[in-house]
Order: sequence, then C-alpha cells, then structure tokens
Amino acid sequence: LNVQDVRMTLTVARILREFLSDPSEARYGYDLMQATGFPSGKLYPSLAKLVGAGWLLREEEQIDPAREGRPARRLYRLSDDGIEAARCELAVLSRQISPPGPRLARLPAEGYGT
Amino acid sequence: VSANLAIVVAFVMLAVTMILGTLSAMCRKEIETRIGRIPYALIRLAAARLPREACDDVALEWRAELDFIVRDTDGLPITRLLRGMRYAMGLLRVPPGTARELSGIDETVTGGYRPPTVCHVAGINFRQLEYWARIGLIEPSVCAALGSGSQWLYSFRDILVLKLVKRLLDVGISLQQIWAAVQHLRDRASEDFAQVSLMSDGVSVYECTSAYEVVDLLASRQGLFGIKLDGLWQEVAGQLAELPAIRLPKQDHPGDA
Repeated sequence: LNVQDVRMTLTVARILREFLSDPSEARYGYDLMQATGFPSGKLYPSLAKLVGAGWLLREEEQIDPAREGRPARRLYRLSDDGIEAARCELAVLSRQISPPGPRLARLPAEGYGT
Repeated sequence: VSANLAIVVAFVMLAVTMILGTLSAMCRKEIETRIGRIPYALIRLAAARLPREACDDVALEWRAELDFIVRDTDGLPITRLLRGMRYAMGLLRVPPGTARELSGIDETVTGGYRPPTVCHVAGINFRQLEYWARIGLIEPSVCAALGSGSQWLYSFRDILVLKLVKRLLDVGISLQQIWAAVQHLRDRASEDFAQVSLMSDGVSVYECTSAYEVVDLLASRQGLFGIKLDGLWQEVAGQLAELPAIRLPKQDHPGDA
C-alpha cells in the first residue's frame, strides 16, 4: 500500500472508523467533531497526521465564495489505499482490544492430543 | 391648553421611546459585533503559533468552519456563538508539539538542505559543520542514505540536532557530554522527540520526558538549565519554511509495498 505508517492511537482509530462508515463520502472537520465527540484541538492534529501519511485526502469545497457569501470549507476523504489500510488496522486493533470471551468448559481430551 | 399639553407630552414620549429604541438597537448591534469577533480573534491567535508556511492555509480552513458553525448550524444565535467559541478555544489548546504536524513540514520527505542553509539555521559556521561531520558527531544523513558523496544534504532532524549541539556548546558543555546526548537522541523515534527536555548542570546532560523528572532534577542539583526540543523544533521549522530545500526524486523501496 502506498501509505505511510501512522501510530494507531484510539483517537486515530475512532476517526478512521467514522470515515469507514461510508468510505466514499467526504467529511468536514466540524462534521467529524460532532460525529466523534472530539474537540477541535484533538481532531485537527490527527487529521493532519493522516493526510501527511497519505491515508486521507484534503480537498477544497467546490463553491463560489462570492455567491455563497462564505469561504470554501475543506473536506477530508479516505484515499483508496487509505481505505484498505484503515480496514486492516481497525481489524487488528479490534482483535487486540476485544474482551476475552467467556471461558469454555474444557472438553474431554479425547482427540485433542498433540 | 390641557389637550395641547397632552399632545406635546405624547409627542415627547414617542420621541424618547424612538431614541431609546434606536440606541438600544445600536448597542445590541455593537455588542453583537464585538462578541461575534472573539472566536475569529482566537483562531487568528491559534494559527499564529504555526510555522508561516502552513499558517494561512490552516487559518482559512478554521475560519470557514467557524463561519459555518456561527451562521448555519441550528440553535439560537447565542448557542451558535458559544459553539463557535468552543471550537476556537479547542484550537488554541492544540499543544505546540502537535501544532507542527499541522504545518505540513514533513521530515520524512526525501531531500535535504545544503550546508549554507544548514549553517544559517543552526547558527554555526561551515568549519564547525565540517568538523562535526568528520568526527562523526552529526553527518549529513540524506547524502549518506543515497550514497552520493558529491553533495552534502542534511535532513530536518540533522539541523535540529545541530542547533541543539550549538546551544549546549554555547553554555560550556564539553563535546564529550554532547556526544553522549546526541547518541542517545539518535535512537529516539520522532514522535517522542517533542516530549524531551534536555537539562544540564553545566557538566552532564540529562534527558527528561516529563515535568516530574525536571522537578526531581531541579531538586537534586544546582544551576540547571534546560532546552525543550519541542521549542527548538518550532524554531527550526519556522526558519526552514522560508529557505530552499533540495528535493530529490522519491525512491521506490521494493520492500514497502
């Protein structure tokens, strides 16, 4: 994959999870703040990290600022490799932190010998 | 007469009401405008802490989001304003260590800086640079990595360390002690780099990664001074943003795929 490694913190994972809910959709920063519940100061550094590593693409909103009467916002979207990398990383993470299942009663050892 | 008086009184009252109404409207407008400006000022403040290269772009993004929050989200004006305020305050709380990530200065980029630039930023002269490379204290890592001896290229991190060495020398630390500190830093990952403070009592150099360690050291020794790598990082990034870098074609690493 043509992306760099990103240190997988829970913040990063939560953001990736949000993007993966619809990988083709581009999201605004404020939109993500609401979806993840992170304050701006926590969100933006992580987004920048992901953009820097090639997981996310940062685009400018396609509007005419003069007509809309507001500046164009920035949008973030997963890159193709980012989608794959994110799925992979989240799968690994979820395996690592999922609680252990209930202990099963030990079966009789017949047929399980080494 | 009394009818006339009544008319005059009514007229005066009407005028007073109108004047008061206008005044209060003006006051409200004034207060509204002034309060409304606060989050924008906070954003400017937050963006000003970033290296200049990224400052404008990031500030534009934040402003656009704030515009949206203040105007187009649902809720009454004060709710929206508070929301905007919280947004702007959050940005102010981005720790300086992570602020540099927003600046987009990527130390992993293939390429580097030529000696004149390096000397200028690190505040050393060419003879020092050359001497330190020769004795192996800090060598130009980009050129070493590419195996081309003809051109010396220093990475961002090299420059950071050079500047650090210069600072330590200036306060009279021996080259031997500095050498030990540099060797130690070499093994550190970049993410941790920003958390490190180097403390010195003028003889030895100590590495602290938390405020507690700093306090401990201060309690046990005298005449300590310290350098926060985080601050040094910002300084170097700020200076480099305005100077030319030599970019090399990105090389494909077969193993990375």
